[in-house]
Amino acid sequence: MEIKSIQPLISQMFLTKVGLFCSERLSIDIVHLNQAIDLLLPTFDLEEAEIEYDKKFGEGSWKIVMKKKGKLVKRLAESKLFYDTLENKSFSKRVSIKAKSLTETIQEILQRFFHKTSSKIAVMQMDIYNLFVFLVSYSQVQRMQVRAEYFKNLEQKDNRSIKLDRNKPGIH
Amino acid sequence: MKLIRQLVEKKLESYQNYSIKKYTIRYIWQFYQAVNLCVSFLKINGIQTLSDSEIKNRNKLYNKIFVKRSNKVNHSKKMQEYMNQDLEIITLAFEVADNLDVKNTFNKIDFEKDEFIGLLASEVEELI
Repeated sequence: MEIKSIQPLISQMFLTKVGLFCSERLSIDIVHLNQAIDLLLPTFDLEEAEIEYDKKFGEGSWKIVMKKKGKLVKRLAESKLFYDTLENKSFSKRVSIKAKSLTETIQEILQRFFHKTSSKIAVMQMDIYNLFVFLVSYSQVQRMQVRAEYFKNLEQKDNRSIKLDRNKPGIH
Repeated sequence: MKLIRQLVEKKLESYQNYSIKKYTIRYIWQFYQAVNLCVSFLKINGIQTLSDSEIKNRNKLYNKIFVKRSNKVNHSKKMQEYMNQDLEIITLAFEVADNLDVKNTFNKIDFEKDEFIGLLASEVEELI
């Protein structure tokens, strides 16, 4: 299979998504990976890609990957729903239902739901990574590099980067 | 495969940042993202590293640690064992990527030679 050329706008969007996937931002990073795959897929002739993929990873593996991808998208949508509503994303302690205020109890229930849904997303999602690396290796994107701007810092309070105070030199 | 290499490096960097801050769950997650990329990169280049059963075992263990929050010593010991084994996969992937880069480099021509001054690139190619 030939190496596919990708339009500059799409490749730019792809690189931003990949940058978000690798950033230390507090989010579910596989969501960004999945979006990056969705950007690359339409540029390929799917029948041709299926034949090549089956050669690399064994027969029938393309169909299995597509099925698994569909399942993963559903699971990600569920877990993202609960994750985005959580205020405290540190997950430092296991939650207890004995909370003080109503908002705290709601947050704790949301956290429990998040744990339930995210437990279905495995640590080693090999199929989706195989698909990602396969698509990258047969496109021009493989030679590009992600800009440093797209790797954003941690959002959470405790982990914010220290800002230099110019009025107090020598302290930081 | 510049891009894949950059992604793996970035993932390892954030793994290191999290491990310094002692966010165990996050650093394991970041580490396994890097391992996943390396395993599939090696697979595409014809090198099989982890079998399906090994992947399943890892997933089971991390599910216990992440979701059930088990504090058992055996689990953490096994986790360290797995991580040490998988670090070898990352180094292997870097070696393969380096070899690929060497293969893909272009032949360099010394254009500053007296013979080549004032010639077009196509004419230089004919001379060589």
